[in-house]
Parts: sequence; structure tokens; C-alpha cells
Amino acid sequence: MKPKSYTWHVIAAIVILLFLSTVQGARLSGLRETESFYRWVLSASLQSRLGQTLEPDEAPDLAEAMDEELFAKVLDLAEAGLPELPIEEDDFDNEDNPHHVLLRAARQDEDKLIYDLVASAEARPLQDEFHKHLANNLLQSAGTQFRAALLYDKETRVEGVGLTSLFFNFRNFAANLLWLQVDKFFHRGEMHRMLPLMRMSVALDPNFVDAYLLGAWHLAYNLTAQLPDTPEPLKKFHPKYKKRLGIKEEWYYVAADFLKDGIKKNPRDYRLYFDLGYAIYENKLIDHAKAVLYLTDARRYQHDTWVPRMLYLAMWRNGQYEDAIKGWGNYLEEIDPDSIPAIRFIQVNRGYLAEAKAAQADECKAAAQAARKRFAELADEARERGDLQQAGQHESEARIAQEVATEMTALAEEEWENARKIWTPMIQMDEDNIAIARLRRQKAMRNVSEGRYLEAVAELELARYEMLQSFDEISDLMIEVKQKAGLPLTTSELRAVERHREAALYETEDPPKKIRYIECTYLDETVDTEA
Amino acid sequence: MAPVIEALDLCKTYEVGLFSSQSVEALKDVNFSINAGEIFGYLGPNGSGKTTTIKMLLGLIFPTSGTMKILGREDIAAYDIRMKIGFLPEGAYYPEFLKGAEILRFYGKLYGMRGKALNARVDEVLDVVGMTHARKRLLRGYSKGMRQRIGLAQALLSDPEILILDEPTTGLDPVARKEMRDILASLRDQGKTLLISSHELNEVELISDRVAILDGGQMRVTGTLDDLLTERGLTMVVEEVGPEAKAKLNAANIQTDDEATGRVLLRVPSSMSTYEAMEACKQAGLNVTSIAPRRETLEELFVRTVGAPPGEESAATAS
Amino acid sequence: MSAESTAVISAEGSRSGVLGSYIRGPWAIAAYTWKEGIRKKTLLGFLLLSLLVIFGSTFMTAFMASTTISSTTANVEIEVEAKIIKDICVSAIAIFGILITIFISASVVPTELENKVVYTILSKPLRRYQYLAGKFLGVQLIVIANLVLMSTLFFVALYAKEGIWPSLLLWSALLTYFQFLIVSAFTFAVSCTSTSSVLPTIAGLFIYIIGNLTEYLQDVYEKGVESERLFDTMIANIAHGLYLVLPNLRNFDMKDQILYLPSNDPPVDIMIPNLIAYGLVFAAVGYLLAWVLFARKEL
Ligand SMILES: Nc1ncnc2c1ncn2[C@@H]1O[C@H](COP(=O)(O)OP(=O)(O)O)[C@@H](O)[C@H]1O
Ligand SMILES: [Mg+2]
Repeated sequence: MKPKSYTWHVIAAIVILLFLSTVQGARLSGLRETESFYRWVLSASLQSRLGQTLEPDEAPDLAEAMDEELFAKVLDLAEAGLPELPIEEDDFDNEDNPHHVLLRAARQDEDKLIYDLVASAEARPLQDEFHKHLANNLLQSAGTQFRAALLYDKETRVEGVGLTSLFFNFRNFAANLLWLQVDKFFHRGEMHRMLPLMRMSVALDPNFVDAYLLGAWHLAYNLTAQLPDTPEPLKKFHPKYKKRLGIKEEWYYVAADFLKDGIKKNPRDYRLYFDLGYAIYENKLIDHAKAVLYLTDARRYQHDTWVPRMLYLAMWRNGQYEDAIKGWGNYLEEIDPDSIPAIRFIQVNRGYLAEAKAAQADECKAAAQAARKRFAELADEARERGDLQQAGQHESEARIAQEVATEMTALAEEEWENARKIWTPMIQMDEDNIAIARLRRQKAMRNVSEGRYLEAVAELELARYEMLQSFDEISDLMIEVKQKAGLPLTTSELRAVERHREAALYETEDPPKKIRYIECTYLDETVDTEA
Repeated sequence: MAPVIEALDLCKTYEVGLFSSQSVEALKDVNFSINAGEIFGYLGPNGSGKTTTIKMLLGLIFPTSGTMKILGREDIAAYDIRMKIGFLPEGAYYPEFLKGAEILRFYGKLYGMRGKALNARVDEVLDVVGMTHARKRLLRGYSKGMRQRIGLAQALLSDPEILILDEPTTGLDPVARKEMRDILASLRDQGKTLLISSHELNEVELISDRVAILDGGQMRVTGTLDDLLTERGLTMVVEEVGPEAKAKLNAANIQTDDEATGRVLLRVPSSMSTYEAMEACKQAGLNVTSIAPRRETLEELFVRTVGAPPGEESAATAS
Repeated sequence: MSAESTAVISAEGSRSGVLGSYIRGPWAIAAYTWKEGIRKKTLLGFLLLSLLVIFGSTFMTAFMASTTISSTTANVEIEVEAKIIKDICVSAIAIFGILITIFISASVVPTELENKVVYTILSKPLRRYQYLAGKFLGVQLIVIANLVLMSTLFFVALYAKEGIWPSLLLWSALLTYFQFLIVSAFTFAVSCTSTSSVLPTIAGLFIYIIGNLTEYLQDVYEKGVESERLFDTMIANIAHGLYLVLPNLRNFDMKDQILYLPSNDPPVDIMIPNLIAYGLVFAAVGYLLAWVLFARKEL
């Protein structure tokens, strides 16, 4: 009886296990591919919201980028495959259509739904297509986080050597070292050398959110602080941003893009949205509408308490007084019932709203009066022609216009009064500077309407120093008043006029749509008083 | 009754080097069997293949050809067989980072012992080998003799029927040797079967029932001591032997051994009678101070069979 | 020393059932390997070094002069420091963890062959595969203990610096372990053919590197199949075959990402059990390889 040897059994077991490991390895690759696809869908869903197209036209080598086409297919699938999701208030971008279902799902943290969708058998062909495009480098929106191979092929290739291959698992570490270097350059004042290293650093570690934040800050603030302003005629039209940009503005956009790149890779980090909205659009590009957009996004994700505050301030600046009042109200209810800024800015927004309504009522009154005059003329013409029916119709229209004008006069008066009722106690209680400035401004406007231009200018002068936030706005108003009164302009005012004139010459965009606070048929373009 | 340990035509060839075709024939057709209750002395000069045989018996290496049986079974690594074997390897190799008692507890666990029974047994074997005093010391600080004792203790742990001891007395001082011999004798008294390999013949001679002499990987002699040490004769002591006298004595087939004290020891073969021996001395002009009957020693047997006294390498090397 | 006092305690009496004897032996070996491991000086040195790095990471960020530009940037600067600490710790755990794993996996068996302790162990009622199982288990205990220790320290360092309690670190550490397990298993298998730990250590490092490069084989394949030349396609197919068979340690990259992902990320939830299964299958392959290689080894 020889001792039994199990060697062959064990070898057979090894072969079986190796087969199993191959199967499991294939399964893992499959899962990882699905993961990439899922992450792309997630990030592309958000990119369609970042105000960029999925296929930026700046890169000529990507002329045949497939992002839009593929994403449209995914969206079709999602519309059929995802269950009904509630549509929330934030799901509109100032338009009537809510955001597409994928974006809503992504922002309502329905990750599981999205994952199940992209991992389903129906999504299989799309996933294959995604990987084909990815391999052929046809997806502009796919960041470097999806495959290491892309990483060393694209962004970190230095002199033909793939950087990642040197680092194995220690890419984050390398990213940090690069970042330390960026920091060194900054402290040495060698700003221009920072950008490439910053880009490489985040390419190595796409989740290095702080690098995105700091980098964008460096670009938009520290770097541009050293640059001169570009005179209007020297600004150049930038095809990607569809705007005429000077050197500084170009860097603002570079910073914004840097942050947007960060959002693609970390779509749920509120800080990126916040800095994009607040630091860049609000403070540098002075685009309040966009700022509101991104700050709204920032508020969607796990965030700090200053995020909603900045959002409501941006809404105020953007003229969304009602939204801001509602927001501050929520803030009082949910976050801090004793918040002094909340209480103050609810009042401020109410005051502004009243003033805006009053101003629009004045406008409407003027428009109605103009319409009445026009209709009266038309009626006279018709009567001369002998068309009595037509004349009667015009007369009644003129009467209606007259009624509206009276109504508007009353409304304007009422709203101005409302505003005063808001500002006065604020001044009495806290000497609130905004209230003071607004009241002075209001007084100035009354003076203007009564023909006392010099007094108006004096009030405005005081008002603009009371509230530096609206210094420019009030200064422009002063110029207007002075021009109306035929008063001489100061040198800086003349320069400002020139600047505005030049800017108007080069204006390529439609002016932003104005918000309507009151209903007035005479102010809507659809009503044709010319007939 | 079947022999406890049996080796049949055991051969072992070591392949030396990875690619060279050099090989060492360490064992050639070795046969022996050990019966229950006996002490078997496995003898041979260094490099003769003793350790090789023992390692094969414990499944540490595998025979090139031939078979081994323990308690009649060929599966010598089976649990129930191993439970009955205690093994003391050549030299002392034990985990150095453990304490004396810890190490024995570890080995005890390998035998499936545990708990109080294990602790009690550990204390007992420590007492048997006289190591109770060092039970709490790390093995790193042990002397060679202490290690050998711990080795014996672990071999005794499971109270095995069979004890295989590879060179148990090598490197021990005379007192320790004596103690080791006593332990081995008492084990035999308990009815254990012992396989003791050694190249120190007088040690084995004192306790063995049966011996096998191995040389160059081949078995030369095997049998009981009574059967093997058949040659008897006389020992005579004389004062100063000159070269001429020596030549004469040698011619008469008497061996001479110079002793340190200046006296000379004469070994008279058994074929010679006392009278003839006395006569030869007289002819050589020597003065006999003492005369005594003598039994052949293992060493002499060894020299007779192997040709040289043990201690030199004599393995056969073939290529 | 009295030979007479040898009262015969029946070893049979304290022996338990068959299953018990199957498990108890390996377990005793594992426990003793563990004991040996934690008393080993080299290992302790590695561990101390890694702990030093983890604690030292707090000071490393001192490289960054923190001139404050505004309150916002100052805030971010502090967070960058925390991030750097995080990454240094992750890297330290990865580097020292893998070194400890390789070192210990490569040495447990060879040192015992070298100092011949194995003679007294394998002559006991213990089959070789049980011995290996015990050793392998012991190695895993040591690796796990190291990982737990390092992660805990990392935890504490992060907590002290940031005041956050990164529970995802647990998953990350778990995946790290299964990555180590694969390297450990194959290093262990190699070590069973050797009587010194030098070669298996080098082999272990090699296994780690190869495991990390497996992903590149797929790129070789993708590039190769496009080519017209026969040689290229041949290379491509070999690369693909290897890609399928070799363990791909990059699959575990998720362990680093986890720290930055939201806690209910669906791919992570699905990947974790799959990665664990992957690690276990390769561990079994490694162990069985060790079994085959060790079964007839001359000791
Ligand atoms: N692992 C090995 N490889 C090659 N030769 C060996 C090996 N082990 C022992 N030998 C040779 O086999 C012969 C017998 O050795 P051994 O059994 O150790 O002798 P002993 O124990 O009788 O002194 C010696 O010549 C030795 O050199
Ligand atoms: Mg020997």
C-alpha cells in the first residue's frame, strides 16, 4: 500500500482555479468598463449643464468628436428606461423646460438608477460604442479618470515617457509633489510656470479638488492682478467663449474651464460649483445670471452654510428679488432663525422689488402714454379717411391706454411709497447704508422728474459713496442725469462714456433679457403699437 | 511479530547542482529491520548515510528506490504512525524566539495535545531531561547541551513507541552523555524501540542491543553485539618497548598501543593462548606488569569491517 | 534528572477528532508563525518606519510656506495639507504594506528550511500541506495586523488633523489587503522552492510590478492587433493571453478612489465583493502552487 499522492489532483485544481480567475478577471474588466461608462454618463449629464457643449470647438483635432451623438442616445435610453422623477424648482435654467432626466437623476442622488440603466443589456451597444470612441480618442468630455492608458497617452506624456508608468499606485503622491512645486512657483512669483504643472497635477490625481480650487484662484486672482486692463479696441473675439476678451478676461475663462474640468471629474463637490459661481462668474466675469446658476448647483450637493447666502446675494444682484426673499426666508426657517443678514436682506430685496416695480410702472406709464398718443393719431387718421368703425376702435384703445397710464401712475406712486416705507425704518434702526443709498437715489429720481437736476446729482453723489457695491450703477445714473440736464461731465465720466460707446460698438451678444416685475402689455415686444 | 522499522533495498542518490549531472550516491541497497523493544545502533563514519536514512524514515526526503515500512505500513507520514514516533534531529534546530516551555507546548499542539494535559506533559518531559530550571528562558540563550535536551524533550512529548535519535550525544560533555545514556536506558526499560545513529562507537556500545555499520552508503555489518563481537583475547601491559621488540611482537600477531604514561598495551588475538603470549613477550625481552582477558570493542569491529576508524569522510562519490 | 518519573500520559487521550486534528495543527503553526513574525526585528523596523512616515506626514506639509492671500485661500491651503497627509499615508501604507507582505511571505518558509526547524515540525503528525496552510495563515495574520495598525494610525492622524472620521477608509484597507493577498500568495509559492528568502523577495517585488503592469498588456494587444504584420499580431495575442491569466493588481485601484467617492457609489458596492472573490481565487492558486512545489521537496 503506497502512500497516495494528490499532486495531480492539486494541479487539476490549480488549472480550474486559474480558469475561474480568468473568468473573474474578465468580469472585473467588464465591471470596470461599465464603471467608466457610468462615470462618463454621470459627468456628461452634468456637463450639458455646465454651459458648454459636449464638443468644444476649440480642439481642431477633435472635429469628429462623438460626445453629443452618443450622449443623445444615452438620453433617449434614459427617457424610456428611467422611472418618473420629481421635477424640483432648481430643475429649470430660467426656461420653461426642466432639465433632462439624467441630470435630474444625477442631482437627486439616484445613482443606483443610473448605474442599473447603463449596466443593463439595452445599454450594452452604447457602452461598446463609448469604449470604441474612448479608444479612438473621440470623446472630448471623457476626462483622464477613465483609463490609465488615456492618462499617459494624453495629458502626462513628457518627452515620450508615460509618467504614470513610473508611479504605479503612487500617482496621488506624485500629484502632491507637483503641487508643492506649483506652490513654490507661486511664492516666487513665477505665475506663468504654474499652469502646466497644475494641469499635470490634476491629471495625475483627478480627485485633487483642492488643486482645482487653488489653481483657479491663482489664475483668476493672483495671476490677473499682475496683468494690465485691455482697452476695448484691443480685445479679441474668442471663438470658444463667443466674446471679446482682453488678457485678464481670457485668464478668467481659463480659470473657469479649469474648475469645469474639475467638476467633470468630481461632479458632486460643491466647492467647485461654488468657486465657479462666486469667485469667477460673480466677482470676476460679473455675470450674475451664471453665478446664480452655478451657486444653485453648489447648493444641491452637500455644502457649507455660506453657499446659500452667496446664492441669495447673487440672486439679489441678478434682480431675482422674489427668489432671494424666498431663499432668505428658508434660510431663517431652516438654518439660522436669528441670522441678521437674512433679516436684513429680506428687507433689502423687498425694497429693491418695490423700486423695480415702481420703475417698471413708470416705464409702463410712459409706454402707455405713448400708445395713447399713437392710437389717438390713428383714430384721427381713420376719421379723416371716413372709416368710423376703425376710428372708434382706435379711440377705445386709446382710452384703455389712458386708463393703464393712470393705473400705472398710481402703482408707481404706491411702490415708491412702499420702498420708502421699507428703507426709512431700516435707516432709523441701524443706519443701514443700503437703505440710505436707495432712499437718496429715490430722492434724486424725484428731483429729476421735477427738473431739479443739480440737487439730483448731489444726492446721487452721496448715495454712491454710501453703497460702494452699486458705485458703478449709480455713477452711470449720474452721467445720464447730467447729460439730460446738459451739465458738464468730469474727465473720468467722459472716459466712462467713451468706454460704453466702444463697448456698444463691439457688442456681439444680445443684451440679457430683463426680468418683468409687473404685467404691462405695452412693454412687451409682442404688442405692436405701430399697427 | 513484524519489525517496527524496516528498510528494503533503500537507495538514495542526491542530484547536486541544478544543471550539472553530478550526483552523490548516499545510500546503496540498504536493508535492516528493527524489532520492538530494542535499541538499534546505526553506526558509520561521517558522511556514510546515517542522517540520509533517518530523514527518509521521517519523510523529509524521499528514497530514489526501495521501500520503508514503519509498523508494517508504507505510508510512513500517516497521522497514527507519526503519533508513535519521536524524532531528535542531528544538531539542534529550534525556533529561537520562543521559551523552553513555549516551544514544547507548540510541538505538543502539533500532536493534538492541549490544555492542562499538555501543560502537565510539558512539565513532565522538562523534568525528565532536567530542564525545568530553564523553562522560562528564550532558546536563544541556551547552550548546545541545553538545546539537545530540549530536542530530546520534544521527541518524548507524545510518549512515542518509537524514538529515532540522530547523533544524540554529539557535542555533549561527559556528564551529559552519561545522563543521556541513562535516559535512553530507561526508555528501553519502558519497552520503547530506539533507533540511535552515531559515529561515537563506545557510546552506542554501552546501550545497544543490535547495531548496523554503514560505510559509504552501504551496509557492512548488522547483528546483535553478542554475535558481532565474537573475537576475544588478552590485554597485557608492559614497560617500554623498543622498535626491535615491537617488530617481533607484530610478527607474532600482537598489536602494540603506546599509552601516554609510557606503558605499552598489548592486544593478543584470541587465537593465541596465554602461555604463547607470555612466551612471545619473554622472547622480546619484555616485563609484563598485568594481564587480563579481553572482549573485542566495537571500534575494533569497525576497523575490521570498514578499514579505518570512524571520523573520516568516506562516502562514495560517483559522477 | 530522573528517568523513572516518566509517568506515561497517553497522548491519545488528549487528541480530539479527525477534523480537529486537521485544523489544530495548521492553527498551531499559524499562531507560532505569528509569534515569530511579531518578534522579528526587521519587520518591526519596517513597521516603525511606516508609522514614522504616517506621523511625519503632518510635518511634511511644512514645505508649503503658507502665506495667506485671503481668508478663502487660507482655508483651501489647510485642506491641501490634509489631502497631502492623506496621500502620503495611503502611499506609505501601500509601500510599506507591500514590502512587509513580500518580506514576510518570502521568508517564513525558507528561514525554517535554512535553520532546519522544519525537521522537527514536519516529523510531527502534520502533512506538508497543513504545514503550508498554517504558515500561509500566519503570514496573513501578520499582514492583516500590520495593515490594521497602519490604518488605525492613519485614521488617528486624519482625525487629529481634519477632525473627520473617514469610514470609507475601512473599505479601502480591506481592498488593499486583498491586493496584498494575491502578491503574498504567489511570493509564498515561490518561497517554497527556495532555501533562502532573497530570491523569493526579489520574486515578490517582481510579482507586484508585473501585477501592476498587466493592464499595459491590454494596450499592447490593442496596438498589436491593428498592425498588419504577423509578428505584431502574434505578440498581441501572447499579450492578451497573459493579460487574461496574470493577476491584474490595477483592478484594485478603486481602493485609492474610494476615499474620494460618495459613500453609496454603485460601482464600488458591486466591485468590492468581486474584488474580494478575485483576491481569494488567486490566493487559492498561490497556495495550491505552494502545495505542489513543496509536496516532494527534499528538505
Ligand atoms: N542534500 C544533499 N545533497 C547532496 N549530497 C548530500 C546531501 N545530504 C547529504 N549528502 C551526502 O550524502 C552523504 C551522506 O550524508 P549523511 O547522510 O548526512 O551522512 P551521515 O549522517 O552519516 O554523516 C554525504 O556524502 C553527504 O555529503
Ligand atoms: Mg549525520
